[in-house]
Amino acid sequence: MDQTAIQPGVPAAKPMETGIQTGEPPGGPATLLESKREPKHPALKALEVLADLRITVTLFALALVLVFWGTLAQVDHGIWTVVQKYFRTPLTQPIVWVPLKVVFFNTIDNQVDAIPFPSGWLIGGVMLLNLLAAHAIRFKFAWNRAGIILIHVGIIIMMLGEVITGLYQVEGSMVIQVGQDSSLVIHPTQSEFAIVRLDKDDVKKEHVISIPARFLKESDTLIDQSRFPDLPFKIKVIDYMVNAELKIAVNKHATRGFGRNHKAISLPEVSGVDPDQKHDKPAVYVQLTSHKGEDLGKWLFSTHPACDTQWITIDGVDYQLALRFKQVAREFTMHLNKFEHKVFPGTTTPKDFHSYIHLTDPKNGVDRPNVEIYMNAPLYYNGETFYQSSWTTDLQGRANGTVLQVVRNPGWLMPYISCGVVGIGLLIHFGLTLYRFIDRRIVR
Amino acid sequence: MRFFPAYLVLFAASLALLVGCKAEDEIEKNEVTHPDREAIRLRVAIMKRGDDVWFFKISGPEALIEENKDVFENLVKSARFDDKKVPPLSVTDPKDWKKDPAGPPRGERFAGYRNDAKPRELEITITKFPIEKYDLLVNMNRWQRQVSLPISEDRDALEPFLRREKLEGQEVTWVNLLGRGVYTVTRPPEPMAKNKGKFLPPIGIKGKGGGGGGDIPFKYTAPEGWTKQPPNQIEVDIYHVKEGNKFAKIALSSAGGSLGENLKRWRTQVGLPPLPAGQDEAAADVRMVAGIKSFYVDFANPRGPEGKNRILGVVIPMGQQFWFIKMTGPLELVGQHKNAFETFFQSFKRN
Repeated sequence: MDQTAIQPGVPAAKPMETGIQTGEPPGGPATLLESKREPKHPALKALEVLADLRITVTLFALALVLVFWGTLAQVDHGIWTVVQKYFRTPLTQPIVWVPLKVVFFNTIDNQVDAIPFPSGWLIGGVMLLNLLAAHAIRFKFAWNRAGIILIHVGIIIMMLGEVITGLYQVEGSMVIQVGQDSSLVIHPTQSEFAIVRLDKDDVKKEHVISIPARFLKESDTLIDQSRFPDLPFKIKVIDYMVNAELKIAVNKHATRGFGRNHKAISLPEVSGVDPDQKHDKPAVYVQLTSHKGEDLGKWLFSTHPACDTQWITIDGVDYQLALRFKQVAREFTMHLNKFEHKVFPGTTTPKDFHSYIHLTDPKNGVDRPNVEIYMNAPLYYNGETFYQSSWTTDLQGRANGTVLQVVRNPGWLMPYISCGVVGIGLLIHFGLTLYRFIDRRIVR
Repeated sequence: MRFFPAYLVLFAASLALLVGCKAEDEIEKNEVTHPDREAIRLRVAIMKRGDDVWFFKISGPEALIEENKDVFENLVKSARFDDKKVPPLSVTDPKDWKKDPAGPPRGERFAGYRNDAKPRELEITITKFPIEKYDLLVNMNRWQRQVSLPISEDRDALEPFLRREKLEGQEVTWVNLLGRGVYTVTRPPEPMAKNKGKFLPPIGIKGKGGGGGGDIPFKYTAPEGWTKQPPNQIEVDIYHVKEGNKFAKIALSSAGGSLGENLKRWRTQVGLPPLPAGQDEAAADVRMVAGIKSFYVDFANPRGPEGKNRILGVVIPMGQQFWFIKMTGPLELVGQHKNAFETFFQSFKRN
């Protein structure tokens, strides 16, 4: 019988253990006597503290509050901003500063960070330790406890699955025009400042220095050779906008390039509750300076499609400059042989989108000339899944390319495994309880 | 002591995993290879004549352009202008090249030719553009971008790419750019494209497609509460939104002219004084509508014509033509429905 279960009418049997117990240590008086004889190992003492059920309850309460606040925060911020700020924070930044507005359920409009609160991964990590510690000090395998153990193993798998997903999940898209190749995956939720030097001897090659947007978010940040020796010039951030629109206007804030005739107007971040779920279009004003101290001008860069790639010449070498969505090259190449966009006759209702791909991966000796990707029939390759997502059009509005959604999640199976294990554990646990209950009734 | 070493191992592993996790992106340098990139040459011949500028253009892999150099130059040299004719230009079609069907009326394209060398056929296009909007630097910058060349910031920097000569009394400016890119050929216009826009749907007959008329190049979704009205000969799709006895009209139409002229007309309609030349465009917000860089304005004048003193308008440039999405009505009512109007034009997609 489980000690935590309340079963009226059933006489107390000998004490049995559950996966997590409070009060008297498991094992009964014999263990107590034994522990009196032998001083406890310090590690064991630490584990006992960590395994306290009061910690578990506190962590669950904290998690409830964090999920609630995280949900409210999506009124003003994008889903991924909230996920990264509240939940998937590295343990080097274990505290979330929750704005007053969120603390007071969005009833006031004060975005000042007010309440320090443990982040999602900190709570989850301590919860995992608490669970493991409880098992480590109280574990005693017996068939009548198999259900409880399986339930906890399932929960551990679920928690590790979240960590793996948070660390290794990749989501992006590939855009390929008919007759063209691509190996680039674009990540529209992340941006980077790219400095591209086209190779003089090989038209197919370019040398790219990519600076993640996190370096650009603080005004007056200086990015120079001390941070990255290959930088061809110094970059000083003047102003970064997490989301901005562009307006045609004479702009005194920029002295070179596109920004002379365009202004960036800051917009709020796309909200997590926005029904359209568009992507933010960041913009940044920067001051560029040569390593010798020569003023190279103030520039405006934006991921907005209206902002073209800009050029600068340093010591006779031309560089393309752009703030763009993060691009990561794969080792394989996809060539789009053909794209079909069929509609039901007489309507504009989509019937089928079909990409005919030639996949080549010289490193792994793969050459698949007839890969088809269409709705509900993705391609699985190299740990990634490629779904038919959208298409591009030419100036006459005719389909001329495909957009594939690229997803990599090494932890995708873990929630399924976890649910299965927990389900089996629950069946065994309650099955055994029911069996014992019926057995005792028969005996009586 | 009931203490399971295996659990300790798991315990330590999970600690290590959590402590060391979440590496952040760093500044990186990579060499990226684009297998389908090649050297691309772009050649253009520019002729100014009357109110228009004419462009003869060919671009493609460097070797192919060199092979067909004479074809292109002979086509340019065959150009003859007769200002009494419409169109004033006539050319001698290149031998063994196929002529494209005519494009949509009011479009930029005058003629297109392509040789039969699939899949790497070459294409020559002849287009015209109003001289009042012509700017050599702007055009050169566009072509430089097409072949990944550094953008010239002033006219003097263009000279190395230009050559001028007179052919039969007509001044021709030759442009010659060598860059890199992925070579693609545009598809020719549909055979019946020249009839596009000639026949508007009759009054009271709904056009086909989601919210759009038969010749509307967009599909879109009208917000709830807007009632569809019969189109007329100018406005191909109309909606009304009512509040008591007041109403605002939302209309979709197309016309030529320049951006500045159209915006000026709207300012006049709400009784606002015209802005100095060039300032109308500056007053507009840039928005992407149906993937096209468009211009959004909000003209309001409390002392303007009653019931029509505010205009929200979007101008979508498509070739020489503009498409307009316009909401006209009383100041407050238009203000109340501004969000709906923005949602409306953001729903536009190309057919």
